[in-house]
Amino acid sequence: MHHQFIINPIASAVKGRVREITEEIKAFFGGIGADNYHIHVTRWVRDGMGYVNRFARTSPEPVRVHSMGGIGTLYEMVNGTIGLPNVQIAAYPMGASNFFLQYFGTDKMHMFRSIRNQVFSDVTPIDVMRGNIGYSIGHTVIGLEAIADRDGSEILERAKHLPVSLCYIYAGIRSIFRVKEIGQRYDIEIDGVDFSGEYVSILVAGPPCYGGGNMIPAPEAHPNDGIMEIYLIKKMSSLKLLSQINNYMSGNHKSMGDNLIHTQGKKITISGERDIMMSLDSECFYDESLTLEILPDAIEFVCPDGIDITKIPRIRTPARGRNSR
Amino acid sequence: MTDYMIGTVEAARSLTRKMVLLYVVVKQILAIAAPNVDPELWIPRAIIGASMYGLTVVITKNRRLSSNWLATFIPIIMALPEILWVVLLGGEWLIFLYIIGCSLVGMLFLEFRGLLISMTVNCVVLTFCSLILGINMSGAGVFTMLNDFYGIVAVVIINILIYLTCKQFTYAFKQFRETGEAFSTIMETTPGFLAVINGYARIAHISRSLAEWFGISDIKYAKKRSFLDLCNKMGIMSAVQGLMEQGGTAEEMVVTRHDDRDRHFLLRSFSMGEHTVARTFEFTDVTDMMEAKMTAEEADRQKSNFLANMSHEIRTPMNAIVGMTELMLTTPLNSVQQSQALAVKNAAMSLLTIINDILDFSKISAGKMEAAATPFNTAAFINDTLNIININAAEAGLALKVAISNNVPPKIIGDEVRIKQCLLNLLNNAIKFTKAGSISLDISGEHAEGGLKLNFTVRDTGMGIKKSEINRLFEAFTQLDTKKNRDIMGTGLGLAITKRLVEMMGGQISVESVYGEGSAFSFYIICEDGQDGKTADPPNAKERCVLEYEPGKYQAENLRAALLEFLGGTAEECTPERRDDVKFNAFKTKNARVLVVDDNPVNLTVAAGMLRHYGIEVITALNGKEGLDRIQEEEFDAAFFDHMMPVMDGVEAAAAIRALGGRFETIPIIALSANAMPGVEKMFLDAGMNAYLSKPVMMKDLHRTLLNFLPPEKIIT
Repeated sequence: MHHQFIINPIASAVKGRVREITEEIKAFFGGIGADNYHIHVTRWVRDGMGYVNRFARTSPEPVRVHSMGGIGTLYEMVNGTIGLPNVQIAAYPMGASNFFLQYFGTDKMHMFRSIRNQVFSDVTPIDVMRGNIGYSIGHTVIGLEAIADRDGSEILERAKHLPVSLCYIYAGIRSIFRVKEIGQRYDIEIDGVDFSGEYVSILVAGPPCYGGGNMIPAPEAHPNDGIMEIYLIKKMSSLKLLSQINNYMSGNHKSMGDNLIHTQGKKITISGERDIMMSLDSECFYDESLTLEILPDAIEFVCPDGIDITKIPRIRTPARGRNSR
Repeated sequence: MTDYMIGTVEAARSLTRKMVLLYVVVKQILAIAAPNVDPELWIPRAIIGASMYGLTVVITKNRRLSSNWLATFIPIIMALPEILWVVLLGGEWLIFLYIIGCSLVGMLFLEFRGLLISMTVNCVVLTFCSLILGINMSGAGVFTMLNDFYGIVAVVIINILIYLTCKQFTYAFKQFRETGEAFSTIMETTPGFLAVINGYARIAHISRSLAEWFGISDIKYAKKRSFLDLCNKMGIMSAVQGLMEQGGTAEEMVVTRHDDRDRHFLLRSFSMGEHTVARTFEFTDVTDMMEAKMTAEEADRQKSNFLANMSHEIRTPMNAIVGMTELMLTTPLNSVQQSQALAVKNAAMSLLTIINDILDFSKISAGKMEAAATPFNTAAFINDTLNIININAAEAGLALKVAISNNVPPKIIGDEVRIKQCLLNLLNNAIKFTKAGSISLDISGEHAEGGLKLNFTVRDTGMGIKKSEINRLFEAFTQLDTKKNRDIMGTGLGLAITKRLVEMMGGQISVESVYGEGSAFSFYIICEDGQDGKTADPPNAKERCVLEYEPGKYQAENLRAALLEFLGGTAEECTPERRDDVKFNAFKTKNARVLVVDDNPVNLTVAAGMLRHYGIEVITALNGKEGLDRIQEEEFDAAFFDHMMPVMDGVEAAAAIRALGGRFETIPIIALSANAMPGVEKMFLDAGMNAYLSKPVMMKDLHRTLLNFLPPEKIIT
């Protein structure tokens, strides 16, 4: 087994600590008397994706890829190695948003930070959503949430010293006041059933949380149940949305009434009357349409010993059957 | 005046002096310490520093410091860090913080109004600073300052300086904005596919055309996106990433986007610095060009295939015609029958020459012909050429005069076959177009850069060429003055081939002609002196050797002797046996057995007939599989395999025979094929064959092959 460490030097918990982290990795492998590792510090966006793909494809032995960054770095690792049978992925919570790992419990983060755990622990299969743009391990959002995601990261890029949550909250509130502009008609088909309508935001979720883990917009979601949880928020006025947004973010969907449609599916196709803004694991894209399909157990994910993903209960069990319109 | 007022006056005077002094000092320091520093950039900084100083003076005064000493020095001490930062270290942030408070509004107005606004804002900032510094009355600084004449003067001066600085900054911002707008306009309107990425490989600028190609309707949607994501969407990510990995300053590569129609782009990329990922990318759509190239290549391939097929199809019956005629000529014939058979053979050979010319021209056009340099004997080469041409000249009633300079070496390294081809083309043309008179050939040599320059000139006393037609002379399929030359046969390829062959051998061809009087064709080629650089004296001290062939007289033997005497060489190298008129009875064999495999029964008859004249026992087979079986069942001294046959072709059969191992690894296998296209000989040799004979099979070639491959003990001379 070869260990490939991919370090994103601009991830929030890595910035200014690349040398320290590198030394930590070297010390660990020196301590166990092994040299079957390699460290790559990414140089630009998608550098890690291309690098890990080339490395894994040409490696004669299994490769465990250690993603040392945030959700963006994990996105690159998934997209760079998907379909390669000799690859396992280990994720470290070193970004501004580690929502995928937050699912395992905020009290478990230290277990994911441990190089020892990530090197010696077993793997668990995890679902991945395959889109026509890329693969997503966490969530895919379209419309308002995607725009908030994009604007939040842009603000953060400009004002690097502001708190991350403040940037995203500001971007979110600003987006709410642009509902008229953002909301549009979408043609949506989920497993052959038509869900077309005017929506302001669409969430297709793997794990239940996002936004650093303190928001749970998809309490029914589970990362290896072989199904996607889909939430469609209908177009409404800014003030109404402002009053409902807290319910949505806390997973209190019942109080949103007809304004939210929740369903499940294995394949969803979305196209808009205008180009649609989407965010796959916080990576923003524009395109004419999006098709997402669940790939059950598509990647082998390292779960530190003591964490059994199959035994982690759902925050809320989905209602029986599929919600209809 | 109170002490306070005296202190203020002193401070203001001090301020003025210090500002002037500061300006002069800074300018001098810059001139001495940093002559390369742009004063336009630094002097505004100095001014800002002075402003800070003045501001501090006034503020300090407002603290009602009673001592003149303190009033003079405390402001300096307090302002010193700012001055140092601003003047010496640049201190852009300090400038910015100061200006943002007191001058930003002023920057928006370049006119005098801006100055007033700037002053007002400055006063507000002053008040604010006073409060921070502990003044116990809100706005005291402003009021005090306004009551103090010198304070007002100081503030006015400060504001003028700020105003000037702002103007400088505003000008710079305006320039920057205009440059940015011009750049954006270029990017939006250019039909080119351009992108600029920043240090994170995200798009900083992109042209509308490229954004649309990436499927993005609005440029604003493309900005800040990962460039590699878009490339990934187009299926060109690995190519682009590879280019970024190399980190070169300028790269060129062709990337292909697989779509409904594959599109090819020439990608050029320039790095924007040694230590940054930032780059420019330029995609140029070369699809049409590449498709045109592929179409041309396909057409060329089809042409080559057509020629190969035609060559094969014509050579197969030609083999029967030439072979059968040769066999017929070995039988007892009366004189009429013999002349008729000879006429058939000559016509067939003429047709073969035409086919060979067309094939040669196609090979040269396709760039598939290469000169093969080997050492050869000069006397033998000239002798062979003259033996061929002498007969034609004699038949035409023309005298032939050959002059050879003594600087022609006895041995030459070059492509003997192609040089001879060029020479024969010119000599045959001269004979064809000359009704009476003579033909002459001059050969000379000289050492030149790159080797030996061998010059040939063929002169005739023929009809000559009109000046207006000389330019068309070397065009393919062109015959001049067709009305007058109606009786002269030819494809119009001879001179075109000669010109290209000469150029292939590093030479040039030229012509001089007087219409009605005759022509002189000259060419040179670059070859090597075969004496390895030795400057041996010519065997004959004569400067020139002149050989004269008179019409109607066959003097080959005498002239060959003269040639040998002049150029050196042995009689064996220069014997009539090198000529093509090889006889069937040149040697005989004893107990020799040969297998001939061909699917065409006529070709089998021809081959068997030719071989039997050597006393060889011939066994035949109709395809490669049958040949393979026979060769395993019986013992043969050699096997001749045709190429294209049903069931199993000759190449497959040869490979299968070699794979058997043992004696089958060494049995001579000779390819017998009507395919005369470039590369076939290599194909046969690669398949394990020993030699290749092209159809129609010439006796001289068969003769040489048998001598090479039959066991010597079975050959009876």
